[in-house]
Parts: sequence; C-alpha cells; structure tokens
Amino acid sequence: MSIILQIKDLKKYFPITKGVILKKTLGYVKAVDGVSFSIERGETFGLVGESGSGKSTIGRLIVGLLQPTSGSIFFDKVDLTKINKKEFQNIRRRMSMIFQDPFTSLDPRKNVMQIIAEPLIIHTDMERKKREEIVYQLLERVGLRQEDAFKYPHQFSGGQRQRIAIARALTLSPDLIIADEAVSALDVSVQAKIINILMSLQKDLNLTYLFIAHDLSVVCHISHKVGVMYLGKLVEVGSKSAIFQDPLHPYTQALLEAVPVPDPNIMVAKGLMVLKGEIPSPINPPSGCRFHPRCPYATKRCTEEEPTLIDNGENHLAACHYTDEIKSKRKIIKQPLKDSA
Amino acid sequence: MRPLKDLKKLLFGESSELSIIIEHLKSDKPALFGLAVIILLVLMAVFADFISPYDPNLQDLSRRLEPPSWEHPFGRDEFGRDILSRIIYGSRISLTVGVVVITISLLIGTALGALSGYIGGWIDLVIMRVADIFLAFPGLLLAIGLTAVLGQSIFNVMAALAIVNWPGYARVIRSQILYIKGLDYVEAARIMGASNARILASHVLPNSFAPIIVLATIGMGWAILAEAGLSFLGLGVQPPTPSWGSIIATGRDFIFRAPHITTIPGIVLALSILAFNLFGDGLRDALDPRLRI
Amino acid sequence: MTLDLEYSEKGMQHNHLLEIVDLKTYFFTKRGAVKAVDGISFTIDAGDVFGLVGESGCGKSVTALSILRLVPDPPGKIVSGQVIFEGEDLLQKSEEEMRSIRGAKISMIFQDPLTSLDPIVRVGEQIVEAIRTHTNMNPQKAWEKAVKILTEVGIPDAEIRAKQYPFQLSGGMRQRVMIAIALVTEPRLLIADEPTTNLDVTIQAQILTLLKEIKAKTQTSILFITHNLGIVAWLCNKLAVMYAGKIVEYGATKSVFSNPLHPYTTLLLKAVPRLDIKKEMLESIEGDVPDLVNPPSGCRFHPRCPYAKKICSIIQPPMIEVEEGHYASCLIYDKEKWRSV
Repeated sequence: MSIILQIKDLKKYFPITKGVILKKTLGYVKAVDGVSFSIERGETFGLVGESGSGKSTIGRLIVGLLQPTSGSIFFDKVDLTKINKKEFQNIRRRMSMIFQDPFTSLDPRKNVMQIIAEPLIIHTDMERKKREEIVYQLLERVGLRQEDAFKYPHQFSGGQRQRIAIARALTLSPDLIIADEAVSALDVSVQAKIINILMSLQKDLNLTYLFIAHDLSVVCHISHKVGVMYLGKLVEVGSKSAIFQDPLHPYTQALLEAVPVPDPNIMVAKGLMVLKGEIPSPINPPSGCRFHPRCPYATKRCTEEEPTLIDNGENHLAACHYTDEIKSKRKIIKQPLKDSA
Repeated sequence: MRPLKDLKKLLFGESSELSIIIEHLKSDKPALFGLAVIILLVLMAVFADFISPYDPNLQDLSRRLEPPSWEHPFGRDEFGRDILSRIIYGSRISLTVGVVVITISLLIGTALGALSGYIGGWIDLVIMRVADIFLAFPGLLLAIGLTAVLGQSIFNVMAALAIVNWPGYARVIRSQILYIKGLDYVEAARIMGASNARILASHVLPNSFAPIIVLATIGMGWAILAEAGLSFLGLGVQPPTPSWGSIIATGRDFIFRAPHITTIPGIVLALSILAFNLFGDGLRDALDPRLRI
Repeated sequence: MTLDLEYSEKGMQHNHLLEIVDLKTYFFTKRGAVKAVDGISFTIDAGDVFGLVGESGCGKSVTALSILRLVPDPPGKIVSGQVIFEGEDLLQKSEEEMRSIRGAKISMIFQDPLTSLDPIVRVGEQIVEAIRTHTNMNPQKAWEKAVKILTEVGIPDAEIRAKQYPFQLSGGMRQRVMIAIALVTEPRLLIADEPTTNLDVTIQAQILTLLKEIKAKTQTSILFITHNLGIVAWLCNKLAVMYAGKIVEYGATKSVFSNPLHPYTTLLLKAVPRLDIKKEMLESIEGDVPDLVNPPSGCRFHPRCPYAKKICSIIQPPMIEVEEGHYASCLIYDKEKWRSV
C-alpha cells in the first residue's frame, strides 16, 4: 500500500485581533498544534475528538479552505503548502469533501443535476450530454433514481440529500474524500444506510477517507486507523482494534468509557466513567500534557513536560508519559469484540 | 411553457420559490389586493394613450375648477384640464420614477453590498462608512438639496432619490452575503476549485435576493411618494407635464373652492403606496422560511 | 386502546404520578393537519426515569410540550386525550393554574441551554427568580438557596459563578445551571428534552451522572427524551419507543433491550454502530419517516417493515402485552389475526 496523504507537524494558529484598521493581535487560538499522521490509499482514517480539538480544522487545511501556520501536507508526495494556486487547482480535483449538514451543503437554487455536475463544469470542458450521463451513473451508485436529477434539494429528506452530497464528492473520481461529521446530523436508521453506502463505495472504487467525527461508535465501525485528538494535539494513533480494545492514552480510555452502550446489562456492569472538569480553552492550553488537569493519573511531571507520540509497537502511538504503568493498572479489562449475532 | 419557465428562473432561481409565493399569496387577501392595484397601475401607465378620455394638457379656461361630473368623473383643474386624464398620465411619471430609482439603487446597492460583504476587510469598512453617512441624512431633505444643486428636472429627481436610497440595499445585500458565504454549499464550491466570480454569481448572489425583492417592492411605494413630494415642492417635473405631486400642489390654492383637485390625486397616491406596502409585506411573509411549515 | 396499567398486580388502585391517555396533538398547516402525536398513552410513577425514544419528527418533543401545555398555538393544538398529573387532568386546568404547575411541580430542561437562559441576567438571579415566582422567600434567603443548589449540581466556586452571565459559562456549566433552575422548586417531575445532545461525550457523561444522582437523592421523577438508545439503557428504568406519532413499544428497559418486540425497535437497535460489538454491515431501515399529514394506513411502520403483510396496511395494531409489563403495537403478536391472512 502507498501513502496518499501525509501530514507533518501541521500547525494552525488563529490570531485573536482587535480593531480593523490598526489591527492588534491579542493572542492565538492554537487550533491545530503540531499534528502528524499519514493515510494509506484505500483505507479509512478516523479522526475523533471533542469540540475544540481541531479535528475539523485539519480537514479544512487539507482541502485548502485554510492556510496552515506551519508544517506540511503531502498529497501523493506533493507538498500542498509549497505549490502555487494553479498546481493546487490540479490537485484539488483529486480530493473532495462531504459536510455535516445536508440542509446547508446543497445550494437550494440548483437542481441535483447542476449540483452533481458542477465539479465537471469547473474542471473539464466536457459536453453536456456526457456530463448528464455521468450524473445519472453517480445517482445510481448512491441509490437515487435518474428521475431525481431534476428535482431540487428541498424535495428530498436528510438522508437523500446526504446521498446527493456523496454523489457530488464522487463526481471527479477523487482519491481522497474528507468526510467532516458526514453522518452526525442524521437519524440512526438513515445514518446506518449512509455508512453502508460509504463503505461499499470504498470497496468498489478504492477510495480513501479521512473520516472526521465526534461519535466514537461510528468511527469505530467505519475506520481502519484512528487518531484521537485533544486540544489541537494528536494524543493517540493506531489501528482500530488497538485504539478501541487496547487504548493507551488516559483520554482515549475516558472517551471510550463515557459512551453509553445500548445494552442495560453492560451499562450496569461498567457504568459511565466520568472525567472531571471541562475542556480547557485552546487560547491558553494547560502546560505540559494538555490533558493533565483532567487526567486521573497526572503527576508533577505531566504539568511540566509535554509528552510526545511514542510507538508502543505495531504503529500504535500514544502521547503519555505513563503508558506502561497505566497499561498494568487498568481497572477495566476489555473483552475482545463479540461478533454480531 | 418554456419562456415562462425561463422567466421564473430569472426572477426566482430554480427552486420552487415562485410556487411557494403563489401558494402563500393565494390566501393573503391584503397582498392580493395590493397586487391587483399594482397591476392596474401598470396597465394604466402603459395604455394611457388609449384609456385616458381627454388630452391631459387640453385647457378650457371657461370650465376651470369644475367639480366631478359624469363627463369628467374626477373634475377639472384650474386650467380646466381633465383630472382623470392627468392622473392616468401622471402614473407614467410615478411608475417610471419608482422603477428607475429602485433599479439604480439596486444596481449600486447590490454591487457595493456584494463587494463589501464578499471581500470584507477595509473595502467593507470604507463602503459601509460611506453608506452610514448617506443614511445619517434625512432622505427627502438630501434629495431636495441635491435637486437644488443639480437643477430642476425629473432626471435629477430620480438621480437624487437613487443616491439616498442605495445604502439600504447595500446593507441588506451585505448582511445576506455575509450569512450565505459561510454556508457549506459555498465552501463546497470553493473546495471544488470554483473561482470567486463563479461562487458569487452562481451561488451567493442568487441566494441573497429574497429580502431585496421585498425591500424593492416597498421601496417602489417610497419612491413614488418621494417623487410626489418633490414635485409638490416644485422640484420635480416641469409643467405642463402631469405628475401626481404637481396636481396636488396646484390644487393647494383652491383647496376650499375645489377640494377635488387635491383630494382625488391624494387618494390615488395613498392607495398606490398602500398597494406596494401590502404586496411587499405579503412577499416578505411568503419568503420567510419560518412561516413555512 | 389505552394501556391497561390502572391496576397493579395486587389489583389495587395504583396512583401514577403522570398518566397520559390517548393524547393527540396536531399542527394545523395549510397542507393539512400534521398528526405529530396521535393517540399515545403511558404512565410514569414516582421514582421512575422514563425514557421516550425516537428519531427526529416522531413526536417525542411535542409530547413533552403537550404535558406542559406549551404547544405553540397556532398552529398546534391538543386535540384530545388526558394528561393526568397527581390525579388531576392538566388539560382541564386554566392557564393560570398551569402557570403555578410549570416550573414548580413540573420543570423542563432543553437541548440548548443558551437559548433558554436570559443572556442579560446573572445566573444566580435567574435561580432566585425561579424560587420567588413560586414561593415568597425573601431575596437574601433565595440567593443563598441559589448558591447552594449551584453547588449541588456540581458547579465549583458557586458563589462566584452565581454572579456571572450565561455567556461566561461553558456549555456543560450552562446545562447545570438549567438543571439547578429546574430543580430548585423541588418538582415532582423533570422533563429533560435531549439535554445532552449538544454536549461533548465527556461532558454528557457528567450531566447524565448528575441526573442519576438527582434521581437517587430527590423525589423527582424524570421524563427523559432522547434519540440515543445508549443513554436510555444506562439511565432509564422504563421506556417507550415512538414512531411517527405513535408509541410502538413500551416496557421496562431491561426487557425492551434484551427482547425487543416491535420490528422498528429491533431494527433500530441493529442500526446503531456499537463500540462493544463488531458488525460487518449495519442494519438499515428502508425508506423514510412518513409524512404525518397523510400517515400510512394501518400500522404506520408497515411500508418500511420487512415483516409486513397485507393486513398491516389495514388494521391499526393495538398495544399487546407480550410479556408482563412489556407491550408492543404489532400484529405479529396477535396470533389469530396474523395467521388468518
């Protein structure tokens, strides 16, 4: 397998300014603060984190909606931060994005045909007939009918709209699709359908996904590799099974234990783990390990020394000083995943 | 069917907004009344040559100030001219002023508002402060001042009214664009690599027009009233060209001897403005997504 | 069609805290009447945490608003039914009587605390106002009580926080303030409408734990409205599943989760991606939620139900007690009718 996307020490600081003419910078929101990871072709990389973790900012940096403060983004070995606009225009057709809210991500004044064909109009001089043919094929791929091509977004339900958005993301046969909370706004029954569509499309078209979400269960289901973010930092990266069955970072553990599972017996047995405190502001993140004020294992060292991502074998990286101790001290030993009935 | 569809596209984009508006207006009686009066006004202005019973400038000094009769339903003025015919021809001035003023205001307002909202930064700052300066003046007073400087003519009236009117449109367009440019579908277009021009023309502007249509409709009423006011003060059309404002102005001297000269054009004027306002209100309700269930 | 829960096992008159009987709330629009809640019945006893589960548009929030008689009128209207609270029908009460019940005997917390709190009043004052609306406690004492309850809902430095404005608090803190306002009058029933949906997982766990503690410490029963089956499994002892304005299943949490009876519940549980169970494909439900102006005839779920027979489109299934205290509205459990076709 080859690496399609590699991010190296990516940083994005948003200045907090005052005044319009005489701008004064009061400080910075360190939304993304030195993040590195890579995605291999054909796999799904899940990026999880709570609000303010910087996960969406990373997606926006990759597609060029934002310019990074420093660091590099290699897409198929080309550093996107070092190329000019024209070169970027050629590369951007190889990636696309699916948004969270299907009610705002489609222009209400365009019909489905116009929406899905727009990337072709921008990037090719294909004739109309051919464009229409491609749109019909795409509609079929995402489970919509040809007749739907001339309807408008408001005539569809949320799930159908998200299918239209997926079709639009597929129009130029991209290599990488960034799905930013792509199923979070949908109801459970519809969400399941969209997840299934995304997964079967990946199989058929060898797509690569960067799947950004806050819902751990969804990320667990769809991803091959997972990165956990906290306050602009990647605290743990690893294969799906490593992250969900053998989490090393205390934050990952806490996140997993905080999710209520739809089974009263399990819930009675394990309860919810409650992490103390709030998510701190990314303007003045805590010193040392950013998680230390909320961490049940924190020591003095954690307040002073910032941990780096350390490989614990099999590409399972965690940024914690005490992974070994925590591993042995863990109260709840997870059972291996049961297969579904 | 096709041309009608194209017109619909042009006016309302491709959504079914027109059908939503029609659906709403069907049950909105005041707005329907407004629309009927507006249509009547337009017909009157367009077919003035055919429907006006007399030459509006034909004088008959022997029968001056004659009250309404079967022959002259609205009576005669101080020169013995038929008031009905003068009102019919006057509607041409009123509507022309309304349409021209609103169109110019819209063009200036949309262009500057779009620049302001889409580009932002210091351009936004400069345009909005200029707009503030215009908004700080009482509109009609500024128009009076401008016509006084530019000279008395109907073109100057229209120019003056447009100059005082554009900042409102610029503001609404700007805030609309600020909202829409942050929506996901605009970001989606940007990620696709669409140029700024394409995004603005194809996504942002078409979605910004709904409140402007409402504002323009109500603005028509305002422009007609303002023109009448300026003509009343003698700053508008030059005699003998009939205008509602000037008819009222000349009737002023005979208000006790021949009240019909002032009251009848006054009622027509009030009715027209009411019609535009009612229709504008109806449009606003129809376009308000919160009222759609 | 009302539930036969009037009598307990001993055959004695059982006094429910809240009994909803055949409640119908419609919204009258130009398109016709939207039957948002269409004949639902359930009971909540003292000490219950009752989960009302369903996807968006199923009528769960409208049910809550109907109990408090807060349905926006027009276009909404409670068409028929009874809401018996402590033996009295709230639908027969005058507006003035309702005002003395709302916020005093029945309180409510919402999804978004920022819009339910007054932005220009200090949070402590808002609690004082809640106290003094229903009692004639003097302002000094009320303030002390406000600070005390803020401490009780887990707000650190309550003295200082009480003097702050809502925007100075984080989302989790604001939801705690809302809970404090709701609880300060010691209500018999707390209605919580998706109170954690906008919160991060770790903060959600904190709020849910707080609600559980409240339940253990006070006499307050909770009606918890959510789309999240995991939360219900953890928090509630009884639950009802709503679909398209009707309750399709009703029973003790344990029996509903271990033995879901209605096809909708079964499918819904299979559609949720889970952390603890590995699934290859998620089960999804075909089709979309029906239009409640013209809901499907017979069973409202029949167009999407994999088990549906012709009879399902004809007969509206009654609530059938399949296990003790566990009801489902599905003809599968009416052996005679099911076999007859």
